Amino acid sequence: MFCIDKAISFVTESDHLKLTADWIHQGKIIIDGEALKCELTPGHKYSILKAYYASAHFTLDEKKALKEKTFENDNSDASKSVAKICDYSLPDAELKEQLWREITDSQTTDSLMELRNKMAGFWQRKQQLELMVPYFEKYYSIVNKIVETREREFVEVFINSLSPAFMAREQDEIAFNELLKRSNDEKEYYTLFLKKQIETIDVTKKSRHLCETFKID
Amino acid sequence: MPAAILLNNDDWGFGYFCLDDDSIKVFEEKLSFINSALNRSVIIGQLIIMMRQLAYPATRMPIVMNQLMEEKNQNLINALNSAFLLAQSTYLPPEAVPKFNKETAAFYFKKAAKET
Repeated sequence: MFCIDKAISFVTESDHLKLTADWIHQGKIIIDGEALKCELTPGHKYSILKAYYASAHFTLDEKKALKEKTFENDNSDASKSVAKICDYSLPDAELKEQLWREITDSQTTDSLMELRNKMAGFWQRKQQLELMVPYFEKYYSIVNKIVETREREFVEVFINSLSPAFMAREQDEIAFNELLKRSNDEKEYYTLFLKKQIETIDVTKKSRHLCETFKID
Repeated sequence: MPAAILLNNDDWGFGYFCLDDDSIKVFEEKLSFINSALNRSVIIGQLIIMMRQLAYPATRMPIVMNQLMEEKNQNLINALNSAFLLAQSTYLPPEAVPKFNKETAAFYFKKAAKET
């Protein structure tokens, strides 16, 4: 179980998603034709289902069938939240646009929990990087307004969950430095966040360079 | 000249250690042959620190991982797994993440099957 537990965090590739989805359908963990003695926990099933939904390799019918199987004896609050995240995570550009509008709508009546679910579904950097790209610039153009006008609890989730800093492009470095220049000490948590993003970009840039140039053979 | 130098044998030392390229290559290929769990842990810990200090590329971490197919020490696997999650979020170029995830998940699946 120890290794299965570790593996789940890294399941994004289509063959692995199919394999783990089959485990849910069959009610047992099978690797290379052999059934393991352990069982998937609800947490494992939720992670597999979320990754399966975000994938572009499966049909909506296949996704719905897996969801039904996952939740067949599970009526918990956690399962309802996961079901929503799944629906919000489909690889669909129009859905992304709609979610972005709803997340950034200052007049929203959604609860913080619902907005969290929407952001969790929206942001799929591991499997939907191309669909995320248009929102990097949108993030930079709206983040100050979000910080100024929305509640801190929402702001903290928004700035952290949807930050494009991991891309570590030249434009990301420029954008975060510009935001830092315009920030003031009134919202110290935001200033600290911006500094942290700039540090992350620096580390990622250097690490990328190392990955590309390191040779010992 | 030895093929590799094991820095901080038995973890007695405290300081800044950095493995040279020749030693890295040997440990990437032969780590599983080191009998002492403590010394395996020292080497893996050193490579993780070097990744964080930008002296060892995150893209090579799966090479180290593949040396641990027979590893029984869960603390050691946990340490490496934490480094993998960090690599995934910060140290790997975004375009390298899918391959990294695939190799890592495949390793754990294979290890899970072996341990049954």
